[in-house]
Amino acid sequence: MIYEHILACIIVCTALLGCALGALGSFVILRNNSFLGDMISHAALPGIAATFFITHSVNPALLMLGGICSGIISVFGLHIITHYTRIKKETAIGIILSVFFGIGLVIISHIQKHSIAQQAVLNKFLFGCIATLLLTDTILIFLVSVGILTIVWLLHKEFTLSTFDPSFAHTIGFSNQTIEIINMMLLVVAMIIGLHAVGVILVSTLLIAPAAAARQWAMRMPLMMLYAMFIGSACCISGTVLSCYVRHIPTGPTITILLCCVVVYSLLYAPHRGIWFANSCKRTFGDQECNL
Amino acid sequence: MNTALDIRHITVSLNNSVVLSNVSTAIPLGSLIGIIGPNGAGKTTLLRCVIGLIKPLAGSITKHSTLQHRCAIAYVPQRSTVDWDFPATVYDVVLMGRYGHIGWFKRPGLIDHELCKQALQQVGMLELADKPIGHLSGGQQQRVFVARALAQQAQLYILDEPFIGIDTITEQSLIVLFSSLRDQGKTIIIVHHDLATAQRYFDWVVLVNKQLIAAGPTQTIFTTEHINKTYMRPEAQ
Amino acid sequence: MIYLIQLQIIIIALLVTIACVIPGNFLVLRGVALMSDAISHAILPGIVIMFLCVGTLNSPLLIIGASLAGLLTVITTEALMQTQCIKKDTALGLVYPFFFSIGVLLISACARNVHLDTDMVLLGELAFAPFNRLICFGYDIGPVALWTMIIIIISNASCAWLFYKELIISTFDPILAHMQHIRPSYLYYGLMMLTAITTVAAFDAVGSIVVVALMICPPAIAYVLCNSIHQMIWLSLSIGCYATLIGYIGAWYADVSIAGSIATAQGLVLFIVILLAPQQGIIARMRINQKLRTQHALDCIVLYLQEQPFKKVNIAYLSHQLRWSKNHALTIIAHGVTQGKLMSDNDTLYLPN
Repeated sequence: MIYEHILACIIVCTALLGCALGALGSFVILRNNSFLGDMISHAALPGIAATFFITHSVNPALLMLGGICSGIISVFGLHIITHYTRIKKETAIGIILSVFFGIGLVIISHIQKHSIAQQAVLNKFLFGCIATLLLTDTILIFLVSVGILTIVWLLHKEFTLSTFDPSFAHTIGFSNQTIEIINMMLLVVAMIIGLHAVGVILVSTLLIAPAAAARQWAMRMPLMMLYAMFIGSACCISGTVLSCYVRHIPTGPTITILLCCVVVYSLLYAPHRGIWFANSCKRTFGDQECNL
Repeated sequence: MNTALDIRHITVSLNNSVVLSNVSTAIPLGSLIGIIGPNGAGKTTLLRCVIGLIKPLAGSITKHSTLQHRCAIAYVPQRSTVDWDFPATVYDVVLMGRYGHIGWFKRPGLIDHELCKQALQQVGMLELADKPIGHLSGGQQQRVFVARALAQQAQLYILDEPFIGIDTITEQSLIVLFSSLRDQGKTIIIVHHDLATAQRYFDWVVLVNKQLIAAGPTQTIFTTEHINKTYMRPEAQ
Repeated sequence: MIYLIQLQIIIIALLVTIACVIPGNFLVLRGVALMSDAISHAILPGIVIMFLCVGTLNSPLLIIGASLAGLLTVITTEALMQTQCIKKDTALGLVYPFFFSIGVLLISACARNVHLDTDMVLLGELAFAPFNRLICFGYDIGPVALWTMIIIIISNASCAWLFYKELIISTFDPILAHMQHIRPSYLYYGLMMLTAITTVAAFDAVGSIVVVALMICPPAIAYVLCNSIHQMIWLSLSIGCYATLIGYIGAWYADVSIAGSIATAQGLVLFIVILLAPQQGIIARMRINQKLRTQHALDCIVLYLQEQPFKKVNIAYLSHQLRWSKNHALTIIAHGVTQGKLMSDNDTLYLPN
């Protein structure tokens, strides 16, 4: 009974996260920001550790708030490095990711002098508490996901415009800065909640993989977002159920591998963009007629 | 002469070096204007100042009263600035031209869709409305951008090197389109690279090479002496 | 005795820094800095498979397994990019969690009873490095980490020296490299192999994320300050070692993780450089912009005066005409007087001569 309850919580939480991150991820990959999610989740570590250090409380909401603050600082730091130096965005992301994580390590080692406790913290960081998600977590994730999806639905044309052609958006009176700030805030909140629930590796994959797969199937933005949401939640549910029925398989890595397999399948077999499709079209119709 | 843009003492510096120095000129309303100069002359920088993407170090640009509305200026960028792998059809991109009128949160209405179709008709791309933008040729891509600017129903059109890398037929049809817009009283500013055609296309030229060399009606200003001065090295001026 | 251990830790830390900075320069120049992050996660299955083969964590074969896994990561990423349907950063962001998850699954399926943790990929502990000794023919010749890092430095430095001009060309202009029959792809895979080997060797000491910090931060700092690659490499080595020392001293005083402290110190040095660099720093740029603004305003006044019939004007009238505040006008005039371009006399401003 309790087992089914926890299983239901895990399924609902991961499915909702898959939805919310799939929708946001569509804009992330189109802006070439794929590693931004990784950066934010690594950069959350010092915030979480510092919050624990100051408040001595393990209340997840409080710790996540700390993580969100340091996530925001990291995005701000990235903006400063890319705009005021000649360091490229990819290098800047690597810098912020590793330096913030190092700061987090310093704070953790200050709190906990024993390496076993440090390993426990980092274990949770890597894998979240996916196996022990409770009703309170589910409610929190539900509220946050619904909030994110609502804002994305309200503002999807502004996000699309700003992603596709920021100069044009500026000329017709939209403030790119405002749109980007809203986008970043949603991303930071989603990543930190996801970090708490499923850990750093899975949350980065959930951001990118559904959108990457959906891109192969959809020719237009709204469809791409819908497909990404569907793929994200479907893989999460299947991965959770699979890891339940096969022993000794942790849930997070299973979902990650499923997502990557879906991406590879999409690359091969999606109509219009898939490799197999293009090759078989060329064999049937010849090169000229295959400009789909 | 009614003035569309009154540019006064614009000075812009990028990366600690001055790219535009003390440019002052008046752009007439309802004309087809060419901005001509060598590479690195600051032509794109001047356009970006007009649009408001760059803040100048000094100087001001005053717009005519009809150009104060936020959708009054349409900007057609160089084609390389956009990601052509974006999931959007020709129709989606042209519809983006209406977003300024639609505003935050709201959805496009019937009028917006009507104006889109009209714009596509004007550039001859209505049959290709559902094609993904990644599958277009260079000329077709340029026409999509122009259709987007038309859908915006702007009063001032600013185009940055629109004829680079496109075929002659498309170039001719675009110039005919711009001339008809000019006859309707719109102002069109084009950054142009080809001296051979500039004299035919434009009523008014602005010659720029880090500073203003000359500006005025094409017949009087487009002389050998001015062209030589524009394309000479800055130290020799 | 304790100072001997401290000395050994410092030496190992410096050696790790040098070993990481050498390939890091080329990674940063190519814009593939995040490959080091991806490789550091993706080598996990290589290590696990080798561990299952040889049964111990201390074998040098683990490095081979990890390097092969690193190479596989790069090959898979390139293959994904070849499809033209996925961008480079997306491809990388998919490949490394995939490999990492395979590693985790292998651990939970096959190696559950052994001390093989996923945390070993993230954490390393420099403080324990001196205690793992290398015994050769019965003689204790120092910590294992010391000799490993020396070998890695020798191999990285010799590769960088032997292939220097080829690396530069293939980074800057791959098409030119191809035309000169320099194979850019071979160099690229070679660079990635070196990165993977360095990562594996170093993460036992400092952990993988700090390896990323050491590979990226010193070259990035040098990139901001230098205009030639030669200078960049030497400067990054010195700055890297300097920041490592600072990090170590900080960890010594505050009694915190040495690896984390080193990464923090690298970040701190970068922050200071971005702010205070003499020409490229934020403060310097603001000053230069301010000077340009003042100079332009001064030129405006001189031009205006030259157009006046008597080459002089009342200061209050001038500020009104140019639409400046009185204070702003007076500041500019003061500059002009200092530079000898203007002369002022109570309320009147005029040109010299």
